[in-house]
Amino acid sequence: MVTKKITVALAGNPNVGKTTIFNAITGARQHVGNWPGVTVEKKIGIRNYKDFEIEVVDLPGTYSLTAYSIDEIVARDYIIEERPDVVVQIVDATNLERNLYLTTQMMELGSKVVIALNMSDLAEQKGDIIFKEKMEEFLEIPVVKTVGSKSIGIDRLLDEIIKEAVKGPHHEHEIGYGNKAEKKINELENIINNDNVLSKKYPLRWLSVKLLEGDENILQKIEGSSIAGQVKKLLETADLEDYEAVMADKRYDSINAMLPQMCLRCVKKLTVSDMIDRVFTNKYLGLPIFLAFMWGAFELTFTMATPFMDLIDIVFGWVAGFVAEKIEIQWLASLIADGIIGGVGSVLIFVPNIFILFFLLSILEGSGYLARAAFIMDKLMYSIGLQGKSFIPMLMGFGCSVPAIMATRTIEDEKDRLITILVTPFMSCGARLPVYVLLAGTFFGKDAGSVIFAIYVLGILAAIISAKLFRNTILKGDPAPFIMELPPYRIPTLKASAIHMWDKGSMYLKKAGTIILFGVIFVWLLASLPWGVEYGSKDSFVGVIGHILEPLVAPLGFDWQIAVALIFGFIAKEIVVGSLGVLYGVGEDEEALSTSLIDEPSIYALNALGLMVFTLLYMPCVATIGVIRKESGSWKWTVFAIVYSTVFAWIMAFTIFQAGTYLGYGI
Amino acid sequence: MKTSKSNKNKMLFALLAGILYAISGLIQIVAGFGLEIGLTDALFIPADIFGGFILLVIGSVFLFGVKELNEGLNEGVAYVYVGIILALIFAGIYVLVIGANALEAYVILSDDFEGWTPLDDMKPGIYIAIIPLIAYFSWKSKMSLARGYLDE
Repeated sequence: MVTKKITVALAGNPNVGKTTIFNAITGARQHVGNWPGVTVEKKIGIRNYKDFEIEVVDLPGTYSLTAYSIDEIVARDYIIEERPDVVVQIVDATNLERNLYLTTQMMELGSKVVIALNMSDLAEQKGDIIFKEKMEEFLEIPVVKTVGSKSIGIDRLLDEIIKEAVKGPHHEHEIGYGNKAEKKINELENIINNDNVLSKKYPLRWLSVKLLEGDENILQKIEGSSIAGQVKKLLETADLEDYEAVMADKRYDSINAMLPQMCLRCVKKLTVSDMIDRVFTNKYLGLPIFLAFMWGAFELTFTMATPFMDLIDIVFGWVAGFVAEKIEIQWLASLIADGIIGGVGSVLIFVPNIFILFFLLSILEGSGYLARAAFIMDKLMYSIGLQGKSFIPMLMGFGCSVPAIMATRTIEDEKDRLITILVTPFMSCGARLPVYVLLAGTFFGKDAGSVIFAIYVLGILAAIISAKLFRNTILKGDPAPFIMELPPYRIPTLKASAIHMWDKGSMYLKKAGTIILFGVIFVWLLASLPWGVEYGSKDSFVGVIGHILEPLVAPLGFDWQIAVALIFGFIAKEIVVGSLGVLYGVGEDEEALSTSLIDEPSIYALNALGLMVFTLLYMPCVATIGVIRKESGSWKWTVFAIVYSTVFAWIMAFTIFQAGTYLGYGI
Repeated sequence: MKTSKSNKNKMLFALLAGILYAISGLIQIVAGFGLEIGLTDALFIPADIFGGFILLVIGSVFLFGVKELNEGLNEGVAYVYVGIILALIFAGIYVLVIGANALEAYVILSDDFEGWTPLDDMKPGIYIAIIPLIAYFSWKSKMSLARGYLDE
């Protein structure tokens, strides 16, 4: 019994066997007329299949979806304005390259598309080996092999049509057009979004792309709308013919990058770039290779940075000592030595890390690999409500949240970008590691490694849970389509990578530096006032605040000293260890601190675990907060990031401490 | 499909390199989990799970190439070339790490590096890479991004 009606549009290049597929699906149940207002033939057929009545509309054959012919306008207007449940693109398997050009445009229409890979028997006879799964992976479109003339694959095609028609929102891949064009597309999207009629009627990106291509038919469609003037003004500043050519080239670039991976023998010569892609986008090897590269980048970053960090430490230590010795006014010496030099130094010490990491990422980006990495990770990230491009910043978060959040700039969609910014600080940055090493080493002995690993995993889980939560509540919606760019591999130049490194790294120095300076002076004041008290002692303001906060952290098993250490951790997380050293009167000697912690009755394995978890999750350091403010452009989201992470940390530490105590793991 | 002589050479090379990298990687991972295996000291195999994972990945890339070339697919050489590139990139990383640690030991005179010698950081990822290095020089022209084509 028929329970649901589905409308399907058949699209495709001329002479790809569209009519044979149409006939194979609908049989005799067809009627022929004309499309309204034009003398282009319109064929509609009906097929009852399983519980569905499928109405099939045969669109005119077109090579693209521009407005150069009436056929193209009829086809695209039907898809956009009539919104069929599914568009089936009939692709000639013996001529993939030409047919995929239309596919790249279909991908932008926001419709559910299914590809019928027709004449696949002829392609196989020719020696072409088409990897259907690889096509699906690259295009994010289901593919069914068919032979229309023999009615082979028609039932599978109908099954796939039904599956697509009944499923909810789907993930999409779209072609990226390069930074210059993407910037213009983004500007146009923002303008069109202000017009309720246009933004509801047309896919924003598609409309923007068409406008940038100078599509006359689309320009007519926006005529008289509220944003027509703004759009025209913007388009006047752009060379539309140039953009049209660039975008056509980018479509072919993407096809040329995908084709050798989707089909063996479809290209006469496999370039080295194709060969690299064959391995890097391999179903089984792609992800491990990506992880290997990332591990290599981090290994190199932290090992190479260490000597330079030590040098900075030595220089700042010497300067602080010199200043303290030469300035006779005690409070001024303390302000400059402990506050400004010590504080700024504790953050500037990460400059080598940041510069080296950015240099390596510039190399990976310049080589064309990062574009593939985003593609490899896209599916996994989509499942947690994000897109492939979110993975790089999140991974960088294991090094330092500051450059990681700055790296979210590559994400075009505002919501995707904001979610990534908010969850990235949960990835355990390098600065938190000394805290884990100290506490896990002191209280968990041989299991320290496993405990630290578990903390890292918890950070990842916190990011995943939060991303899902934000996506389903305050930042509702689907992740934006993945804008796929597959530039050919190149050997990156040293100069370009160095310039890129400097651009990104110097931003850290300029922006975060100013916030850090104010931050450290503020904390110094808290630790030094009222005058005459021991720096950071219980009588100082910070000590008083620690005592005030003690009731808040007491349910987590923390005392006032830990509360103070956590406040200091606001400047930079690694300061937590140094602060504990000062507060427990052993200075920065980690071995002495470890012994002191074991002797300290108020700290034991359970609350030490809670402290590690709290350190992992609570509010980001001042530099990260500064970058969140800068990148989100909003104090509201910055405050939200602080409050959300601290509340989350409190709940987790509370659960660990209370549940552990209940289960007998307390003192 | 019949495998050409040139591809046979590449297949044999990939088989040798793949086995060496995969076994070294596995030993490194096992050692990383704290299990004692003989010869680890003599072969400079560190107890390093992530380092072992890297070697295993490189080995797998070579072995994938063996599989495809054995099936008569010319395109399988992609795995051999990329395996060589990966092996050399990671060997380069390890050498740079030795350089950084040498700075710590001999220039900054860091306490953590007292008594450190370059041999302390020697690992299979460096010395096995001599084999891909030789292969790289043999097939360099085919691996150039500017003019490399698979036209065999």
